[in-house]
Amino acid sequence: MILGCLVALFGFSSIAVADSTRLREVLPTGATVFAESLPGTKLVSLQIIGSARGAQDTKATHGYRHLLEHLMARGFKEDSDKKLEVEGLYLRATTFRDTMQFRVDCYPSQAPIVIAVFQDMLAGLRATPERILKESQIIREEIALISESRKQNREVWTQAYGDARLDPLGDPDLIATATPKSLADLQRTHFCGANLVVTVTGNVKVDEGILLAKRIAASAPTYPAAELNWMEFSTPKAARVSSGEMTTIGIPVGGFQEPKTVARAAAAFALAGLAQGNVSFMPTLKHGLVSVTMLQNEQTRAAFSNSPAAALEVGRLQLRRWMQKQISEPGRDGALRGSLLSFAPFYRPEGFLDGVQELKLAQFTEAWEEFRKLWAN
Amino acid sequence: MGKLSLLVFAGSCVISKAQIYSMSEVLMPDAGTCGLTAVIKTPKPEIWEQAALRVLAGCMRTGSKTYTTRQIDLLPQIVSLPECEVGSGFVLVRLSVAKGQVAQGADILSALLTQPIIDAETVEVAVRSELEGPQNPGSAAWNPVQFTNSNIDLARVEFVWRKYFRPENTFLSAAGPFAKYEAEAAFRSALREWPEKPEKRVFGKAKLEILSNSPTSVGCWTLGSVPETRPQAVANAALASIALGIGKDTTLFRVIREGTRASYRQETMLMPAQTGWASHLGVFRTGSMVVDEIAKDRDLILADIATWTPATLARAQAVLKEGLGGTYPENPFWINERTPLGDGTAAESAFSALNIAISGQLLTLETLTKLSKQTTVEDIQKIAKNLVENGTLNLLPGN
Repeated sequence: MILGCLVALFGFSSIAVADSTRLREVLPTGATVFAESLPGTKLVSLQIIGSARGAQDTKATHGYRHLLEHLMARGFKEDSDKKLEVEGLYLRATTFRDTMQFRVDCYPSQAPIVIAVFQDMLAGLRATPERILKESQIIREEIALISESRKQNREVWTQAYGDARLDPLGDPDLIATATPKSLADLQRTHFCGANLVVTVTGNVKVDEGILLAKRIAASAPTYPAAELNWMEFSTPKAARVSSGEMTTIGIPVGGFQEPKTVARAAAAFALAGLAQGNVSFMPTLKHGLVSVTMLQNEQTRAAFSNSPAAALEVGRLQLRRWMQKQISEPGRDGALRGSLLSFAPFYRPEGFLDGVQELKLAQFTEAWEEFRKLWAN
Repeated sequence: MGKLSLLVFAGSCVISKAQIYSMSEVLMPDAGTCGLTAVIKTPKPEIWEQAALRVLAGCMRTGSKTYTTRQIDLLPQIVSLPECEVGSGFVLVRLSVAKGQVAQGADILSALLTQPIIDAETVEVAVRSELEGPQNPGSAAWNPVQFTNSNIDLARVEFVWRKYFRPENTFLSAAGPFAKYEAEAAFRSALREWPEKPEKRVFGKAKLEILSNSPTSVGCWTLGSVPETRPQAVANAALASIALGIGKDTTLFRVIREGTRASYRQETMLMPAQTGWASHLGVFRTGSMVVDEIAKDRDLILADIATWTPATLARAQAVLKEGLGGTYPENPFWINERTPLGDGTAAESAFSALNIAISGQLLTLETLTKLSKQTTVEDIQKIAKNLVENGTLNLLPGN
């Protein structure tokens, strides 16, 4: 609902918000274009990010978005990779629960090639029953390859949210039931103006970056934004999954910049730093999850024996370092800022970093205790 | 302490052929980080020694007596934490530091080589990890070895450390934006006393098992060739590897993924072997692995190789150049079955140290890229054809 209001405010007028190195503009179509100049970088990253608002997987369509990603990456003319790779360029395509992202990092002189590829991807979808069947088989193989920690992470989400936050990889049997029409409709929703963010970040002047982004955004399908909403569902719960010596614990979080989210993320990063574990944390508008995967060993036990004050310092450092890494490199910066903008125009990494700095020991201690109790269960 | 006696110059690289240890510098003035690598040669280890070296690497990942990994992680000048990898005939340790921090990096690396944490607890943890064996089909495909007994104890690990971590087995390299000889001086100043040679002991044999199945439902078949040693041959092999299987517009993508059998992962790579870089090819998929089907796939791959054109070569050259530090995120070089060479200064220092260690010659990634421009379509077809026709086939069905 919050996002619906924001779209109402920002979706139908062209508003530019700028500082010295960044510029964000909302186009009449509702699409957001964003450019950032990152000093000292040689590459520029061009990205299209489609919000899943109104296009989320349901139990009946679980994996259609993933299939759409595979098909869109091929391009309408089915020659995206050929055009890019001959230039030494690489298309990254990723489906998350809340967004689908396509990214190419290039030298500034290569931007027109990337723009043409993105325009072609947005122009339509070439999906035949044979291709759908083939890609569903390939996705089945892809799912069979996922790691144990990824499996645990998937299970933690399921425990926390049930069928409300389905894993983006999908169900290959259901994927095979998609039709060319259902996928074309899905693409129009997922990448319509109101759901589209285009980012250009890195070795580019902001005004030039905005122009490049606008050229891509102009290819987006139009669609009535008022019909697009996030799914609503009941309260999630904390989750824990173990197999062998590996355990993943996850705690639901709300919006990216909420103090509780910052505290839980800091606790997870502290644990991962102290116990050499892995954190999974994807910013969300709401209904997110922070999870950490660790081994059942002495190192993990020792990590939990740290005082919250000591752990807070580690968490702060690790979280700041992680965020700095995200926003200092063109590709990561565009991906993060683009997904944040797809949630809300006021979501910024800097807001999160401020939250990390202002995090109180009491807030952190509460989050730390949540993870400690969950681990001990 | 290591003593340097001879300096050799080669283009933008400075090799210090030490009386005791070898040192090379690759000057990269525009880089933002410094990569530091030590390659320790472990010629012809016994089977139990291979297991003990892997356990030793596990111990080293926890840090040294001077710098634990936890402490290193808190240092602001660290760009990437130390990696310890065991390859075919070597142990490689590397880390990256921020520009201007070579001395700090050399000190951390030196401490890891000469004062690793080897105690009962770290050995036990590392042994447990090794006994689990490869956890994914990729690792299992390229190194299907699982150690099946736990007699790798503290004494054995300390023995192999003392035996192999000797200056005469050590090849140091630094790459980054520092002044000529700066890294060499940093290492000379940082290197601590090397461990005493171990007393001769006879240890019982260790057992290992060559896996007959993948650890998951995804099986694979792989092909491996004999190593290429000459720099031009390594460049040719890198391009052949890219044309065969790196990216989408490749032979394996066309024949395997888009062909009759579904497969998500098909790959090619070059890994260091005893005398050079060996080409590998792998196809991963669920379901049965029938030798006749693999033979048909090999024929289809050969037929596709025969269609390669100058455009195939141009694509491979572009991907190689950009994969070594530009717009492409992959390159064909791997350190071992689980760790890609990567890019930037960390890759450059590892690549130069590995080349001097395994083939005795200096080859930088920059030189390799230049050599790749002299390659012809026929050169890469010949290498690819040889791998597919004559490569050693390994089959690891899914379970």
